[in-house]
Amino acid sequence: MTDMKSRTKLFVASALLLGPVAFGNDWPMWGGTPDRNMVAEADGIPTDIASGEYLPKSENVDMETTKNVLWVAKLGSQAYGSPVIAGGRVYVGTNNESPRDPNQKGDRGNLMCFDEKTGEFLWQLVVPKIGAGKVSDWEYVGLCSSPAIDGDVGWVVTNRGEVVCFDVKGMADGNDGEFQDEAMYSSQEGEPIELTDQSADILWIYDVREQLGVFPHNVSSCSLAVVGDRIYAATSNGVDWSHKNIPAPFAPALIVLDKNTGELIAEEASGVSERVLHASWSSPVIGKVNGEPMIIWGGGDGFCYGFDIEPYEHEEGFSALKELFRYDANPPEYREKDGEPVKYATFEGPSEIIATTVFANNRVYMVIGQDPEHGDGVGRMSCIDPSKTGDISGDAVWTNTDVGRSISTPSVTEDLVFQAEYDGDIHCLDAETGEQLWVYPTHSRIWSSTLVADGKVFIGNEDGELVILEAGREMKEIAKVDFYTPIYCTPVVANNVLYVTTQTHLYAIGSE
Amino acid sequence: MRLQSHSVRLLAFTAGCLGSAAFAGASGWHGWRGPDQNGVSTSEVPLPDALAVDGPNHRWAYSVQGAGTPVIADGRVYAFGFYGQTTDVVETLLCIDNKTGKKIWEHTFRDFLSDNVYNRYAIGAPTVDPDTGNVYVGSTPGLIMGFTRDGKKLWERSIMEEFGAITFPNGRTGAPAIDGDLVIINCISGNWGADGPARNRFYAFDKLTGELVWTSTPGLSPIDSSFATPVFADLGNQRVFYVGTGCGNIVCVNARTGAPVWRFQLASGGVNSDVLLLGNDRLIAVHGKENIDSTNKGRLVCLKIPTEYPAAGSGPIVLGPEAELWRNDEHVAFSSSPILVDGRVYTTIATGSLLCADAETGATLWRKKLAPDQLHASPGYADGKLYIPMLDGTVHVIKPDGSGGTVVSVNELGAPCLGAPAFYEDEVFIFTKEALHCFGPEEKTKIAADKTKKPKPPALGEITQIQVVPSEFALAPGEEQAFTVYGLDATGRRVRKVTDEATLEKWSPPNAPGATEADVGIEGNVVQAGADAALSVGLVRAKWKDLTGVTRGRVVAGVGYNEDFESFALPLKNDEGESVNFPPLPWLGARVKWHVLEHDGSKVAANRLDVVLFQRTMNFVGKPDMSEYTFEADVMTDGTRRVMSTVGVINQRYLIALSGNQRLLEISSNHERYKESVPFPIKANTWYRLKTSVELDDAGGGWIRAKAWERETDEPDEWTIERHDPAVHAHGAPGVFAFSPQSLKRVYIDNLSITAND
Repeated sequence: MTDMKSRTKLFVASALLLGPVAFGNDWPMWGGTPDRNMVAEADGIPTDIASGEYLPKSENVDMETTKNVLWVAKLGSQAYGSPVIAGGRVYVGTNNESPRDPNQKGDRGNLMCFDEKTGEFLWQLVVPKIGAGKVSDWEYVGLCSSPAIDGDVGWVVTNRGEVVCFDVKGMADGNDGEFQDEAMYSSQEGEPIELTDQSADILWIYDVREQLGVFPHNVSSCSLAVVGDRIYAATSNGVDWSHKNIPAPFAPALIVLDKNTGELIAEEASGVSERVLHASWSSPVIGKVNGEPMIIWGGGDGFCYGFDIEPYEHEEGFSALKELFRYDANPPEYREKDGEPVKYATFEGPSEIIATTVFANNRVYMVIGQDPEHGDGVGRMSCIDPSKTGDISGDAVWTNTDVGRSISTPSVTEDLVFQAEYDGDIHCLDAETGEQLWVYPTHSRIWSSTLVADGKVFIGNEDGELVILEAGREMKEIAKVDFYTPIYCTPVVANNVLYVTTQTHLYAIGSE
Repeated sequence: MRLQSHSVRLLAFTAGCLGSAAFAGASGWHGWRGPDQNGVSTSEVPLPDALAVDGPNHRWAYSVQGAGTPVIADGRVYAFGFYGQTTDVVETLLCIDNKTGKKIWEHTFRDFLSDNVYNRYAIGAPTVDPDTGNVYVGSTPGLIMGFTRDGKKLWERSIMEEFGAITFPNGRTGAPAIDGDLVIINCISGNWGADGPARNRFYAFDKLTGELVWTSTPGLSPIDSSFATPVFADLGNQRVFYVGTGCGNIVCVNARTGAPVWRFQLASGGVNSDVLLLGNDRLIAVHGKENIDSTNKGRLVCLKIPTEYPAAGSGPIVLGPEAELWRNDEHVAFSSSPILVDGRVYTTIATGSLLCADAETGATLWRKKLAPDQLHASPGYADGKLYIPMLDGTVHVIKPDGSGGTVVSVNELGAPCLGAPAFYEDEVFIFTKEALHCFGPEEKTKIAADKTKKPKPPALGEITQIQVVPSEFALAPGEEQAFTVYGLDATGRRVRKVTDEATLEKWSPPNAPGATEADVGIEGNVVQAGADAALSVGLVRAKWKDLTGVTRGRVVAGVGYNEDFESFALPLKNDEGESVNFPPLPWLGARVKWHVLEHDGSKVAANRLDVVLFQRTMNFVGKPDMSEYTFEADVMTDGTRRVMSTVGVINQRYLIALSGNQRLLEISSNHERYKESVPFPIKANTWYRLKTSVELDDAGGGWIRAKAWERETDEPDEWTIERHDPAVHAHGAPGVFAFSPQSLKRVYIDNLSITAND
């Protein structure tokens, strides 16, 4: 276990060289660092946990009935945007079904900000629905992305497909930045809302729908990578109701913005949107491949791409991302059989990349998956060498098809890979060979990603269980904790506190 | 042995009623929820414990993809299924001999213009009318059809083209409900006039003629669709049904008149599961969406419901929170329907567990995890056992007891299950995504004939109300419609036809602002649209003695239709301050989708961008019986090189459109079923003339043709695209189409013209 911890530390430390400056062991973005490896440095995370009972006629947890729970914050009725923790604040995406602002009731997307020590609600960004029905901003799913925080500034992709830059202190310290119209921004009905100290302070907004003609499918979801002065964002561009027609085939699936101004710096020109199977939801990675930063990203077309960090001038006169490699994360037989294309969203068919690709060990690890609505199906985990160039499909370090469809991001240590699967299994693979070492079935759907911390694997499932396993070559269940409500977010750890986010509550767990 | 109607074969035929093969007392599992509308068989015929495919109890399998529940009447199994995977997909209504598993007859139907994705077909069930033995089904694109037990088609209605019924990617079509003279359909429609806003609507058709008898709109603006089946009961001296809606309500509607009786807001989202009645004063319902008074999703509730029919004139009642007797938030089910057995409610919840609750208190008594998750499949109960199909293709047979359930068998059916089990004689039917399976004991059980006599209905009363049928009509110029006026008694039952004694007249409700008159003439019980009748809408009122009844209708586009919009006044302002008017009133679902406005000195129709929900619109302007016509229009999209929109027309169930962002001229009819295109260099802000036609050949196929050219240039001789469809849609309504992705760029239509093909 000690070994594991020190190895973990090593990865975190190396990743931090690239990313924003974090305090102590903050978790300032999805995956902790732009490598996106679901591994955190921690110790003393309790495993003897009781999530507690509600107070009578209330949805507030009776803290007398919990064990090793430091605080609990009420979220809306659905939460998919896993928390990030930075600078003493905890941020989480949810919906507005537990309205924090009595004047703002009804369906919205919310980014809520809490005090890290006490769980006290500090402020929230309230995002109106597009009103497109299910096709672009599905009712009640809330704000699905994790923000990225760098010092006093944060960025988040909203349910409306905007990249919003915000002041981490909210409106309490005044309305900063160029953007001043928060009162209208948060208005669903067209009348300005009343701003308070608990309102978000928006610094700028970039709208991929209006600026680029993007057609987000179901909802916009991407956890931004922020490195240097740039922000990297997938656009969620996808199909329409027909799930065949692509309304915006020439709108980019991945963009680069100036983190200070929101100005568009570059876009992918690899044709991802023309090939998109469903939507481009995967979050981008910035990995230092042999010491040089590279944009690594899993496309909605089922390919993993490597792009040069510096854009070039495309022949059609726009700034584009230079493709270094592409790798089809699907084996050929998922795409075509007997000369005929295999239908998408069938058990045997091809999948896109929804989980985040992970950069670790100078390799890229990835799984393919589909919207849970599409059910189970064949999948594959791949480990590739990102220093290779061109179309490297079929040229992986290893692949493993024991892993079926998954929307869970892996946790990679020096020698092991922990990978959850939508069907409820947790796989442990040898990081070097891809050989499956063990499988732990949870018997419940998994949307959450694994998190390795303190020598353990933490993961939540749809039955509302937090499963804790030993992060080792041998399978060992340490604990199963019932939270009674589905867990779709990923457990994260920051500053030795474990955060478990159910559909309705955020629990901060630590030794009491 | 106590036998109820479903476990009997009764072979008494009678003749002479309306329709064909009129049939007395069909016996069986007539609706997907069984004779008691709750998924429970009270038969005591022994049923198999294990359902192993190719095992000793496996009587037969019929290879057809299913996503619902078969129904059985008098030895005939009726299954709504589908064949094919790609462009070859067809839905089918199959009639199979229950003893042999052999097909007796079948009808297949192609999809057209629906939003169905991923082959989510046949998510529903046929329903058999116990009085006649006729069988009814609704297909994915909204064809509602009635057949005799021998497979003769009685009638067909196209609720998409006639009433603006909306299809959804989830495909759920549900099952027709039958009560008395009526076949009742649950759908979401955006029709015209007062029925223009999209709502859950119930359309009641005369089961023998297919004529529309009433329309009911008992709910609010829906967030979701709902495919719940009405559950019928007597309320006081009236016949009512209870059902969940896409707006999250449980509604009660008068089954004979369509009058909404009450509603209860259960959820924010759609209620898809069928309700259960507990005695005459309680109703149990489950849902899986947002609750209105807590932040968890899903709830099983028991409501105290009215036991008396509200007094006339009191209007629909809204039941408040005090109607809730108990709640259980552990039961979360989106579309799986619970069953009620001996005071216990059994629900398969979304996360794949079976939960048993006490129907008196709502308390969960026990639970069992059966599968990772559950979707539409529902449990059934017969012979003391729960038969529980699951999405993962397992069927669990569980014997419930006081404190739990004993697992009798877990059976792998090999393909997902989306329906409920059906029970008939000594047979259990399970439909999977691959086959319809029939299981029964190795030794066939002899079934005694049911001697139970149906109770005699109370005598008909005096006529106290009249009903004009059809209650809605559409006439192309030159067409006419005859009406029947029924005299109903106070309970809504038909006493007799009073057509000959009634008078019909055009009518506007007093004090109705903006009331319009249909451009029709009336002679006796016949309403006629003259050859030059203008597109118009209005009401026609029947009077008999001092009673009145109303029907509403439209004069719609037919061959000879021309519209340049120049006659439209523009008295309204849109959000941008432009002078506008509503589009032609008979266009279905168009009022919130289009405006007539002036553009470059000409009046045109432009799609509205104020509500992103309406970024795409398909509006029928004529009737579905039209065939072999040429539909032309000028079309244009606003835009930039990067962002444009799609604009086109519908001709005979084919959407033919200029797709701006793809630079294509495209023919489609559900993108997975039919999609053909040619590159076409569409420029923004440029008018094109789009000309379309469909021509049938003699072999069941036909040619779909379109040409597009810049309006200011000469018409090209050649078709821009010409495709043969070997299984052509032989008829279909003309319509207009716009899709402005994310409501960014407006499209325009002008100079519409419909002519007979050359």
